[in-house]
Amino acid sequence: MILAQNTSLQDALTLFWPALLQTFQMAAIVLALTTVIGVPFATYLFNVSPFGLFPRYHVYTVLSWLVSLGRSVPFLVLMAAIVPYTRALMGTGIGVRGAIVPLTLGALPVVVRLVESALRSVPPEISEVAQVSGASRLRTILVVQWPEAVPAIMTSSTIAVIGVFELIAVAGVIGAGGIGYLAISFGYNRFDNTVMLVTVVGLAAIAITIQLVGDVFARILRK
Amino acid sequence: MSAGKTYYPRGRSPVVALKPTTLDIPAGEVTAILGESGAGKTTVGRLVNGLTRPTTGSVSIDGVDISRLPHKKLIDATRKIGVIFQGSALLSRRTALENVELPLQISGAGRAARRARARELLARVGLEEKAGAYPSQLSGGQKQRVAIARALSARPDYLLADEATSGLDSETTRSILRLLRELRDDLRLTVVLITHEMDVVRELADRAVLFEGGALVEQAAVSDAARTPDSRLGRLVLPPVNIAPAPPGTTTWEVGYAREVALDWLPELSARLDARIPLLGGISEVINGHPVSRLYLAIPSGLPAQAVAGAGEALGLVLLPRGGDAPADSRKVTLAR
Repeated sequence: MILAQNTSLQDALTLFWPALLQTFQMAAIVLALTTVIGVPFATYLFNVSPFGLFPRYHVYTVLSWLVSLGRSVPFLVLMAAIVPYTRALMGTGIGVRGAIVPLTLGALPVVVRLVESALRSVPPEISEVAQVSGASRLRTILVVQWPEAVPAIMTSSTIAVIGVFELIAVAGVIGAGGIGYLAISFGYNRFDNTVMLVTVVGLAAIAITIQLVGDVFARILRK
Repeated sequence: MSAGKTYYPRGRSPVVALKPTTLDIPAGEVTAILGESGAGKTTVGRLVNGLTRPTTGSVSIDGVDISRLPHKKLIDATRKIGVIFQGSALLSRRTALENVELPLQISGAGRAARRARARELLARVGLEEKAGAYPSQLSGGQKQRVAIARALSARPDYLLADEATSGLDSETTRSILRLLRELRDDLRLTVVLITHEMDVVRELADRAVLFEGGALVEQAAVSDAARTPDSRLGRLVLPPVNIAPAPPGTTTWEVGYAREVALDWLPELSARLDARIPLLGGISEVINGHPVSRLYLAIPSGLPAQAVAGAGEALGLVLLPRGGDAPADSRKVTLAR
C-alpha cells in the first residue's frame, strides 16, 4: 500500500500560488483591522496608565488584564472556542471569511501591547512640552505621541506582521485556506513531502522578506 | 505661591512632594531653586507651569490664581511661562526649526508667521545654519539651545528651566548660561532655574532658594549668601575649604568679601593691627560676574575681637573669629556691609 505519493514540484506550485494569494488576502484584512482597532485602543490604554495623559487606575487595570488574557489563550484554543460567534458574525466558520474574526482577535492583543510599549518609550517630557504650550489631549496625541512613537512601532511591527502570518498558518487547521491549510491537508495528512517543502520554503521566504522590508523602513524613519 | 503638594500613589502611603511652602519669585530676577533630588524643587516647577495642581494653597502668576482655573484658562495663564525641560525634550522626528515652531503651531499661529519667528529665534541662539538638522544630528549644547529657542517662541515673560545644563560639559554649560543671561537682559525675563549645580547659581542667579525634604529651608540673595558662611546657602555658594591650623598664640579669623577690595588689604590690616598675619587658606569664586572670596587668617589671640573686627570694617571687610582661643561671645559680632 502506498502511504505517501509525492506530487511533482510543478503541481505543488500550482497549488501554492492560489494559497499564497489567500494568505496575503487574510494578512491584509487582519492587519488593517488590527491597526484600525488596535492603535486607538493602545493609545487609550497607554494614556489611562500611570504614565499617560489622563491616568485612570481602575480602567487601566481592567483593560490591561483583558489584553493579557487575550494573549494568554493559545490561538488554536481561541479559534475553536469562538467558532459559534464567528459563524454568527460572518455566516461561516471556515475559509478566509471564517478566519478573519479569530485572526483579528488573536493578533489584536499583540498589536496593542507593541503600540503601548512604543508609546511608553516616548519620554514624558516631550508630551509635557506640548501640554505647557497649551495642547489639548487629542492634539498632544496627534502632534507628539504618535509621530514620536512611529520609529518604535515600525521596528516592532515587523514582529507583529510575521506573527500574523504565523497565525494564518495555524488557522489552516480549521480550514482557513492559505499556505497553512495546504501544509496541513497535503503535507501533513497526505505525507506529501514536495508540498510540505514548498510551503515551508514559502513561509520562510515571507518571514525573511517582511523582516528585510521592516528593517529598511525602520532605518529610514530613525533619522 | 503658597502651596503644598501630596501625591497619593495607589497601594502605597502618600508622598509629600512639597510641604506647604510660601515662595515669591521677584520679577526681572533670576531665582535659582536648589536642592538634592527629591527635595521638592521639580514639584515647585510643575506647580508653576500648571502641569500639576496643588493639594493645598494656591499658585499665582501676575496676581492670577492658576491653581483652580479650568483647563482652558490655565493654558492661557501658563503661556506666559516658557519651559526648558531637563534633557532638552526635543521631538526626534522634527527638525530644529520645526521643534521651535511647535508651541506656535499649537497656539494656532499661521505657517509663515511661525516659520519666521522660529528662524529669528534660532538665529538668536546661534543656530541659524542648523535649522534643518534633526535632534540626533545636534550636540547636547545645540539641543539645549534649540530648547531655549522653543521656550521663547511664544514670547513668554517667564522662563522656567529644569536642570537646563545637567549632563553638559562645563564649557557648554558656561555658554548656555551666558546665553540665558543675555536673553534675560534683552527680553527682561524673569528666570527660574531649577538646579542642583552650584556653578549655575554662581554664574547666573540673583536669588537662591534651598529646598530639602519637600520644604523650603533657606532663601537669600546670592551675594548675601556668599557673605554669610554660617548659612546653608553660604556654604553651598562658597563651600568650606581645608585650612592650615592656626599657629600657637593665634586665632583663626575668617574674612569674607563680596565686592572689589584692593589686593593690598592684607598688609593694610597688618599695619592697622600692628601684627604679622599669616594666610591659612581660602576660596575665591566669581558670583554673578563679581569675585567673592573667603580667606582664613591667623591673628594674634591677644588682640581684642572688637579691635580686629573694627580694623576689618575700616577696610570694607567682614572679619569673624573661627576657633582658636577666641571668646565665644565674639561670634555674635555682626557687621554692616
